[in-house]
Amino acid sequence: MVFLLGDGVQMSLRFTAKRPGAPDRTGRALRDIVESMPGLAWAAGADGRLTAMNADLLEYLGIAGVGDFHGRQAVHAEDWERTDGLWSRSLETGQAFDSTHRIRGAGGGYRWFRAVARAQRDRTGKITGWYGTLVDVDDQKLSEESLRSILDNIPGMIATADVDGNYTYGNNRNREFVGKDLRELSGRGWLDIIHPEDRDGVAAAWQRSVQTREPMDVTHRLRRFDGEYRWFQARVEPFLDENGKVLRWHGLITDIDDRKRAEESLRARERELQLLVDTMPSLVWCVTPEGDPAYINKRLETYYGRKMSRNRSAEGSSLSASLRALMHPDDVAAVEANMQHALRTGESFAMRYRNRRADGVYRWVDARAEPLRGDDGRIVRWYGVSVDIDDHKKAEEALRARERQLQLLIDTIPALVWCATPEGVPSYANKRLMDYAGLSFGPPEGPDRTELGEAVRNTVHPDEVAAVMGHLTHSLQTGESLATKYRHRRADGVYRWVEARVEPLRGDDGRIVQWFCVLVDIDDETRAQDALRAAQEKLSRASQLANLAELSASIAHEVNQPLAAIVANSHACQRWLLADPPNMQRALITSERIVRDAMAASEVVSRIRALFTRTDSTRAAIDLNEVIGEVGQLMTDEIASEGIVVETDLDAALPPALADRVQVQQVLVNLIRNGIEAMKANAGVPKSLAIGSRRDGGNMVVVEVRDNGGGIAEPARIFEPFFTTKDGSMGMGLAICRSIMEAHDGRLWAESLQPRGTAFAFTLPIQLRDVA
Amino acid sequence: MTRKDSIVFIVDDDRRICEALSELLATWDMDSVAFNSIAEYVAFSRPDLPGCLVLDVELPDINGLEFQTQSEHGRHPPIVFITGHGDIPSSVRAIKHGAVDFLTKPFSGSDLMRSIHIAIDRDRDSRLERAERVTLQQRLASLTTREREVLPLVVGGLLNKQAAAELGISEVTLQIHRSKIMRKLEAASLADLVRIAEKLQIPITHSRRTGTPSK
Repeated sequence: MVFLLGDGVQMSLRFTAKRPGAPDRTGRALRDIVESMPGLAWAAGADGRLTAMNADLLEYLGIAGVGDFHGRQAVHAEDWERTDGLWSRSLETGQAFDSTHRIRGAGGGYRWFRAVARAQRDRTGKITGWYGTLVDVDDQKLSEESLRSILDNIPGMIATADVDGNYTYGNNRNREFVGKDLRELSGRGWLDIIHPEDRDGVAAAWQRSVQTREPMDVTHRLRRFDGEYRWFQARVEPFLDENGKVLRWHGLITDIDDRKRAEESLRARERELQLLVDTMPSLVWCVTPEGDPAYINKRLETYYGRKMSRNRSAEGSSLSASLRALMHPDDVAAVEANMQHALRTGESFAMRYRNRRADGVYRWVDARAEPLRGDDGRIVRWYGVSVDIDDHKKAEEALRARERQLQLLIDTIPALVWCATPEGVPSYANKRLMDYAGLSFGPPEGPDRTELGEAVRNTVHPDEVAAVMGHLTHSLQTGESLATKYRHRRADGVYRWVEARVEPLRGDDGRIVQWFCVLVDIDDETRAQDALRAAQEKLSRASQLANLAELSASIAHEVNQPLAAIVANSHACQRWLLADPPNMQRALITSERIVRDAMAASEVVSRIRALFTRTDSTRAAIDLNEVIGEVGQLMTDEIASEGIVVETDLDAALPPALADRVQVQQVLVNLIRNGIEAMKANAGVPKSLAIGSRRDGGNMVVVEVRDNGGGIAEPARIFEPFFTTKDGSMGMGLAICRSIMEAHDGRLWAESLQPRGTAFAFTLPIQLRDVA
Repeated sequence: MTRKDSIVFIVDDDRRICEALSELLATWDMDSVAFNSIAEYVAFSRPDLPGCLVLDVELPDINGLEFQTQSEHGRHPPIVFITGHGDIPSSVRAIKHGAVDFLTKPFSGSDLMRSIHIAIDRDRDSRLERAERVTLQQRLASLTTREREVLPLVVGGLLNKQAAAELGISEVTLQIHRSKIMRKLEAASLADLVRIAEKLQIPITHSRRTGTPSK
C-alpha cells in the first residue's frame, strides 16, 4: 500500500481521510496515478494526513473513500502504537517509512501488511507529500512465525553470528539450556559456557573459521544452567551472498553427550576386547569370507615373530601366502583343502598342523574357526583360534609310546596278568594269559552276572574253586592284597599249579582304582619241590641210620677204650702173679686199675642206656645257673692247675629249663674240658674261659662256653664220632653230647671266634608252668 | 730174658691205655715211654736203641696213619697200630706202608707183645745192616782212584791178564792193586770181595765171558 502524500500537506499522525475536492493540480495528477496503480497504494500529505487510496485498497478496507479511513480502527490494536511511532518518526525525519502490521479488512479480519512510504520533495527539498504501498505479507508472516516456533522447538540449539563472529541469536533451547539471555551470550560471551578444557580449542577454531570463512565442526562440552557439562557437536557454516561475501554465520549445536558416552564406553569395551584378544593365551586370527587373513592378534604376531599388516586391502593374498609359508610344507595342502572346504560350505574348520614358530621350530597347533554370519545369513567373517599343542602332542605321543611299550611288556613278560575293576569285574587280561587259558576276555554279557565268578569257575580246578572265590571275595571286601596257589586250567585242559598275587591300586584318596593280578606258572617248581621233599624224607631216614651208625661207632669207641686198658692190665696182672717170685704189689695195682676201668666202661654203658631209654621221669625243672656253678666247683682243680681265669655272665632272671640234671652236667664238663684242652697250647695269651647263660627268644635258654684257644678249623666236623676227647673218666664224645641235647629238644653247636678261640653253645627248652 | 737193650714208644691220648701198656711191658722187663700226642713223641729225644712205636690211630693232633705216610722211612722205629675203631682199608693201608701189625682195641696182651718183639727184631736187623753198610762205605772211601777202577773188573770175574789189558797196565801192577783192595775192604777171599761189592752196589761193567764192556 502506497501513501501518496500531497505537496506541503501537513499530515497528522493519524490516518485521517482528507477532505476530497481540494484544488491541486499536481496533487490531482498524483492522486490519479495512485488510484490507478495496481496493488494497494496510498498517498499522504506532508502533514501525514492520507490524501488518496486506490480502488483495491478501498475495496480491501471496505470503505468508499479515503475520508472514511480511520487509522486507529484499521490498524490492529497491538500494532498501533509501534506503527504510529514509526510514522511519526518518518514524518519528523523525512526518512522512509517501513512498518509491518495488521490491518483489518472489509470482513473484519486482520491481515499482515508491509507499509512502505517515501517522501515526495520539491526542488528545495521540502517534503511535499508521501506515497506509499501496502504489500500483503500475511502468508509470509505466518510462515515466519511458524519458522520461529520451529527454531525454538527443534531438539537442537541454533545460533547465529554476524560476519565478525559475534553471537547474535540463539533459539530458545539454546538460551534455556545455558540459562543465559542473549545479552550475556552476545559477542564472545558464549565462550564462557564452554568447558574450560575445550574453550581454547573452540575459540581458536572459531577464529580460524571467521578468518577463512571455512565451516567449523567441533565437539565440546557445554555448561548447562545447573552447572553440568554435556557434550555437543557444533557445526557452523557461513551464509554467503551472491558475491561470496559472508552475511552471517549459522550454527547448529547438537547434544551428543549420550552418543559420546556410548562411544566412549564402546571404545573402552573395544579396548578391553582388544586387550583380551591380545593377551589371551592363544593365537587368534580372522579371515574374510574369501579366506584372506584380516586380522591376527599380538600373540600370533609374536609367535610368528613377524609383524603382520592388518591392512586387508590388496595385499591380503600376499599375507595369506606368507602365512602359508609358515606352515609345515607337508601340511600346506591339507590345510588349504580343509580351509577351502570350510569356506565353501560354511562348516566349522578344525585341524591340527605344524606351524613354524619365530625360532624356526615347527610346532603342532590345533586350529579351529567358526563363521560369523550377517543378518542375511551370509558369512561376514571367519574367526579362528590356534592353540599350540606341541608339548601336549609330544607328551601324548610319548605317553602312547610308553603305553605301547608297557602293553608290549605286559604281553611279553613271562607271567599271566589280569586286571579287574574295584568291584572285581575282570577288565583286562594280557595276551599271554589269553593264550595260556585259551580264553577271550570280553565285556560282561549280563548285568547280573559277575564275570569274576565265571572266570574262576572256568579256569580254577574244581577242588579249589570255593577256596579261591573265598579269598578273592575277602580281598574285594577288605582291600587286602592276596597271595595264593591253586591249579589253573591251561588251554589244553591240563591243570597246572600257579601262584597268584593280587594287589589293589589305590588312588590319591586311598580308594581302590583297580585290582592287579599276576599269575606265575609254578607247576614245574611245585613238582620239583615235591620230589625234593620226598628225597629229603628219604635222606632224613638215611641220615638217621647214619647217625645210628656213627653213634654206635662212638659208643663202641667209648667202651673199647676202657676195655683195651682192662685187657692190657689183666695181662700185666697175670704176668706179675706168674713171675718168680710173684710181684704182688704190682699185681694189686694193675688189678685196681682193672676194676677202675671196668667201672668206667660200665658207667659209659649205663649213661648210654639212660640216653636211649629217654625216660622223661628224670627230667625236671633245673636252674642252669646252679648247674654251671656245680660243674665249675667240680672242675676247680683242673681249671686252676692250667692257670685259667673263668668269667661267668649268668642271666639272673633265667627261667628254669626242663632237662636231666646229670646229663646237662656231663655235657657242660665235656665242653669246659674241651676249652681247657684247646688253650693248652696258648703261648703268651692268657687262658680265659667265659661261661654265660641267657634267654634265647621265647622258649629257649642258651648256655655258652667260650675259650680263647687256637680254635678249630672246621667247627662242624668236631661232632663227628672220632673227635671225642678220650681223656679222663667222664670223657664222652661231642657226638654224644649233641645227641643228648637233641634228645632234650635242644641244640649243640660250635663257632669259631675272632680273633681266636671257639664258642660251644647249647640250648634247652624252658620249663613251661603248666607242665610243672 | 732181659730186653733192656730195646725201647717201646707208646702214643695214645687215653692215659689209661698208656698206663696199662707200660705196665704190661714192665712185666716183660721192657722199657717204655708213653706220650699223649704225636707232637710230644716227636719232641722227645729218643735213645739210640732198637725200638718199636705203638701208635693209636685216632689222635688229637694228627691221624696215626697220616703220620706214618708223612714221616721219612727209617727215621722212626717199626709201627704197631692200635685202634678203637678198626676197619679193613685202614689196616691194609697201614701194613702196605710197612706197619708191623694193626690191632683193634681191645687186643690181647700176647698179640701185642708178639708184634712188639717182631718190630724190635726188625729194627735191630735194619740197624745192623745200616751199620755194616756204613763201615763198608768208610772202607771203600779209603781206595785210591786206580783201585776203584780195578775193583769192578776183579769182581766182574776178569782174569788178571784181561783186567790189566783193559786198564793198559801190567799184570803185576794189577795184582798189587788187587791185594791192596782185598786188604782195605777186609775181604777174606774173592767170593767175600764179590759179596762186599754187591752190598756197596758196585756196578759190574765187564764179564769174563765176553771180555768186552757189557752194554
